[in-house]
Amino acid sequence: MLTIKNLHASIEDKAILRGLDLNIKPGEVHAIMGPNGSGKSTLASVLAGREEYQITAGTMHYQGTDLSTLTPDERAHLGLFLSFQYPVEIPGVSNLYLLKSALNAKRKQAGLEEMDAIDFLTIVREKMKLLHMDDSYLYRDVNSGFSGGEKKRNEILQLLLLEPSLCILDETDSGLDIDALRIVAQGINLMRNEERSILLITHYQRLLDYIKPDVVHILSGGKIVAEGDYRLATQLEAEGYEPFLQKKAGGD
Amino acid sequence: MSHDMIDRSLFEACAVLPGWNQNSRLEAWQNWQSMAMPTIRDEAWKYTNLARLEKIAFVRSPSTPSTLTLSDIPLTIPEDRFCFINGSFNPALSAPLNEDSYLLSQRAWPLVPNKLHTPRSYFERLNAAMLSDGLYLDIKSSTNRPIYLLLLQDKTVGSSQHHLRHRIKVHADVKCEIVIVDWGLADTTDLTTYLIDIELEEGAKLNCTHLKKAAMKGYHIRQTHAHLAKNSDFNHFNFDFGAKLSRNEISAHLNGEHAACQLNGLALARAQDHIDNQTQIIHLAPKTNSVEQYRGIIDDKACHVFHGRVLIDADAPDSIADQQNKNMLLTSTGQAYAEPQLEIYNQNVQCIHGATVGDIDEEALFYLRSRGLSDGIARQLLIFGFARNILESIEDKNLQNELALWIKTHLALDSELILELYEEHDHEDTL
Ligand SMILES: Nc1ncnc2c1ncn2[C@@H]1O[C@H](COP(=O)(O)OP(=O)(O)OP(=O)(O)O)[C@@H](O)[C@H]1O
Ligand SMILES: [Mg+2]
Repeated sequence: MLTIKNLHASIEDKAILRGLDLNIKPGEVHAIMGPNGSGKSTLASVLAGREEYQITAGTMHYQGTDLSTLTPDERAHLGLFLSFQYPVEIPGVSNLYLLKSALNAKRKQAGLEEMDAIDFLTIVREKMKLLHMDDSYLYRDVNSGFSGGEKKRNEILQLLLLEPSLCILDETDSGLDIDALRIVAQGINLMRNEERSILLITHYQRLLDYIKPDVVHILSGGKIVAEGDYRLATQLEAEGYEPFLQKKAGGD
Repeated sequence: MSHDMIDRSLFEACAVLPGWNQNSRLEAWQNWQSMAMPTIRDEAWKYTNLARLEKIAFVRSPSTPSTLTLSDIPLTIPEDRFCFINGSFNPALSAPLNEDSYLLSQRAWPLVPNKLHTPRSYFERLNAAMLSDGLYLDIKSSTNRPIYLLLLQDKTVGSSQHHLRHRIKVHADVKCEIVIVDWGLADTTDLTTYLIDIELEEGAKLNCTHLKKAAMKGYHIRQTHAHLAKNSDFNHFNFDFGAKLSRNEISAHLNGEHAACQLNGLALARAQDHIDNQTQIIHLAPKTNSVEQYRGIIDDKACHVFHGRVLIDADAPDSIADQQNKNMLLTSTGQAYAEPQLEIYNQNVQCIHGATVGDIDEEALFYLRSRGLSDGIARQLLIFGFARNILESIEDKNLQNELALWIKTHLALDSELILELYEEHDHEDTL
């Protein structure tokens, strides 16, 4: 269970999140939508532990643990996973190596033995098949020279392999072609279960047609300005953000 | 002008070399004497200060035989090798010499290209005056076994100095590999100057890897000049593990059509090391091709200088040149200077270049950590990954693996991690 209360965060003394509240229960899928620059990726980065952001007020707890005291790797071990809006290229480090060491780091933390190379390959190939990825992606450097859509698919591959309990997907749908979107969404749907929480950041209703959210939030100016069920996304698609932003301005 | 660092008595004690004109040698000595040591006001020495070198009083290299053995070098050294210790040839550690491999102290060398005949710069003159020996390698047939040239420095009493000149000639259509291991095994202050002249005849191919791990207090000035005939292919890999002052001047002259060179380098500088790489690629014929990739990993208070000159002559249309220099600073006290210098006299060519100096990429670090890797491991991966691109340009896989381990030891990286990184390659081949 993720509980965020009155979260304020800034970067370089510029306040981005300004009193954000969010609760996600196990098994729930939440979507966050909002205009460019409203702070969606900032929220994702703050949750994942990016050190450039300062938390100036508020709290965030996951499964009862205060996230703000943990390093990014500790948060990953706790089960948090961020699929990046802009996945980073890592020259000189192969995808295979990253996948294997990420999985083994997690297993080690859980008191499990490291997985041997053969077992690992069997599992990773199974997941790659789901995403229609061929073997060559394993031996290429992490994200290096990958197309935008390939990078997103590679993020989901990591997600499928690491089986996190809290998945934050920052615009995973942007850059995917129509078929890829369906494939990736199927992959994510496979992950849905009673324990796993998913936070989808997106601009488009299309993704939400595949992965139906329990709650849709609208983030604007660093806080949640509206909430509703999946129909909120449909309404947004039709009317745009304007009505919600005005409501917020009027309410303040 | 007089130089206290090398006394005239040292010059007079130098052995007479067959075919090496004593008069021109005296002339080199006198010219060197009359020349001021380069200072940071000289363009070519802007970032490399020699002031301290001048204050050292060097002595003669000891004539007592060294007790060094090959096991002192953590590298697998094959049988095909030639070994010099403190500037003297060591027959016990070397393959037998023959008519295709002989010493300057034994027999006169054939003429070297005229351009290289007249020493001009400060250290070329010093080398020409003080030269003790050198190896001539006349490579007439292809071999897939690398030839090793070991240039070792053992402990000496006082600050010693050694000056060698080697020459490698690769005959037409011959393909070969040479590994030069330049190793300082004792932590003494020494001055070494090497000149290595390389000539590639038509269609020849040479892969030359130069590993330098000098003594921490050592001053190493090394020049490598390659001349490439038509269709020849020269791949040079310069791995420098640092010294008090390590200067590598490398030039490739693409004299014949379709000649191609690759100059790659990795400078691993730490503590107070200073590594200065000065490269020149001169395109003199049509359709010549050069690729250059130099990287520096700079720790502590160390410094890496890269100056890369690429000249494309008016007579070299349809040529391609690509030069990249990247530096990774691990501390805020390290320094890197990157200076590309492009001179293009023909409009009909392609020329790309780029130079960067930066810290470890914070984005990449965060990305890896968000996948559960610790800060320490993530940093090591990024550092090794940065070096790896250069490492992988070496064709010889055995050498590549040995170098990976060297880099690992030098940067104090986790050995298991690096081994695993390398193991994947084997998977790639077998699966
Ligand atoms: N390093 C920084 N310095 C200053 N401002 C920053 C910095 N990083 C982000 N911001 C600002 O923070 C605000 C929120 O950015 P964020 O990336 O969270 O938006 P977003 O909602 O994800 O937008 P998008 O839909 O375009 O992805 C933006 O105005 C952005 O310019
Ligand atoms: Mg964003």
